Amino acid sequence: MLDGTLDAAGADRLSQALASDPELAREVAALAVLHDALSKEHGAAVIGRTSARQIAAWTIVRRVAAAAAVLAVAGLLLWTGLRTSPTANAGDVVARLVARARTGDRTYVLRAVDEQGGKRRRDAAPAADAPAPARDKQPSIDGAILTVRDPDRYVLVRIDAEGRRVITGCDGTQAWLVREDGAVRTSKDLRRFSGAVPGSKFDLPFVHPHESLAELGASYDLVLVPPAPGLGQPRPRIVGSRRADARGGPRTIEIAYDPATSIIHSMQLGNLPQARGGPRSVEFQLRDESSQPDAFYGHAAHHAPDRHVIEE
Amino acid sequence: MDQRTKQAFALWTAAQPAVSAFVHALVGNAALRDEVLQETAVAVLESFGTYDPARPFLPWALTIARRAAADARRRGARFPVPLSEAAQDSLAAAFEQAGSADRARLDHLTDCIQALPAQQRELCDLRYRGDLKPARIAELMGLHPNTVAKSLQRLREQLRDCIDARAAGDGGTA
Repeated sequence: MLDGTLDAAGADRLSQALASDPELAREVAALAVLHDALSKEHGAAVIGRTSARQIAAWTIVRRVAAAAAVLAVAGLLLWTGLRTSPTANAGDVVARLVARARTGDRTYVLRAVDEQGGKRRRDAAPAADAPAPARDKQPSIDGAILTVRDPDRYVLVRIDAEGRRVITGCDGTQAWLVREDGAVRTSKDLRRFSGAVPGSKFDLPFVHPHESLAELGASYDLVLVPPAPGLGQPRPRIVGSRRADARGGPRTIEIAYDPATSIIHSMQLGNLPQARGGPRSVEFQLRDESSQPDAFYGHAAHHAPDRHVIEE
Repeated sequence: MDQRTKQAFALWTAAQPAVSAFVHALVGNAALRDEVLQETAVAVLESFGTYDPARPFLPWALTIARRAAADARRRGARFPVPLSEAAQDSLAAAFEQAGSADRARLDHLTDCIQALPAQQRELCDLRYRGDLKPARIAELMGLHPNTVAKSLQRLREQLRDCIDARAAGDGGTA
């Protein structure tokens, strides 16, 4: 009951038992009090005790102090200790992944995932007699291709409801938007068109690899999960749950990576804020790590040279 | 703040942990618990004029909480399969009897969590910090969902035993 695993028949049996057995009801109530206290101990109770940044800082200090103490005894013991604790080295792994992500270009395929965990159906094409979609209708993130080098160099290609490409990007000096028709728009505000990039609102370091790692550490509790080949999970993963006192951002982050190369193979942002619509979850799948020329990040590489350009 | 409002706040503050646990058991997840609890608090304060001070406060607050949970279900919130009304009556009565006895003992909870083996702490983290259901935890840990559900049950029983032992060591009732 407390873990939400009861089916209708189970709930019916439990209802009958609770209604007829006050002792069982007391037992369940006592466990429910513990269950609720555990939830608060791990989440809401943190609020007011200290800020997320202080927790992160304290965690780092504690880890460094513990590591130094253990090193003083034996390096081997340190290695063994870190290897056997599932949470102790999550921060170290993240640091390696971020350092690796800082080198070179990455191209990801994005998938929207609905609440039930299935792939989201792409926006259906409008009926022949339907009115033309509004000019500013957001193209779907599902199936989009994201190439990223650093926070200020990225290209995101999406397809709108009419099957036309909508490309946004930034070359480090200006942000830009290219549609298949109309003027190309540019802006000196480098974040001007980045709102469509999942994670860009939340400063996630894997989308923007140079962003502060501390931001991720401060907002998420990270747990290392070993590979489970039998369940189709051949790679280890880092699962991050947003801290109760962190504001905004996806509720969970799941990253599958190669421990030998520190390359991120997939990343899922789960339970995204729904206030402005959009998918519940977004999955990034690494497509390739091919190097791109610098010019690729400029708008001119993505449209004909005679297109009119408007600087905002 | 007038005297009546002060009294309402004081009574709500004392009852809130039990109401929270009751609501959590009904609605099945922490986010929805917080939402329903907030609505309950507002309803309690707004309708405090109808509360009879000669009667215990907790049963009255639990009744309002049940109503708030039912309203959330009608609005389409995703609930686990509901318990019958009779079962909810029985559970509410159990919470009323427990009163505040269990709450003082929960001061030992943090220490008992720290004493758990690493794998159980991880399980605890995923279930309670991540608010993840057993099926999802099973995926992450490469286990069968039933194994996770049983492990969570054992985890809570182990914590309860630990709390009992520490409370007994303090001279409290175990």
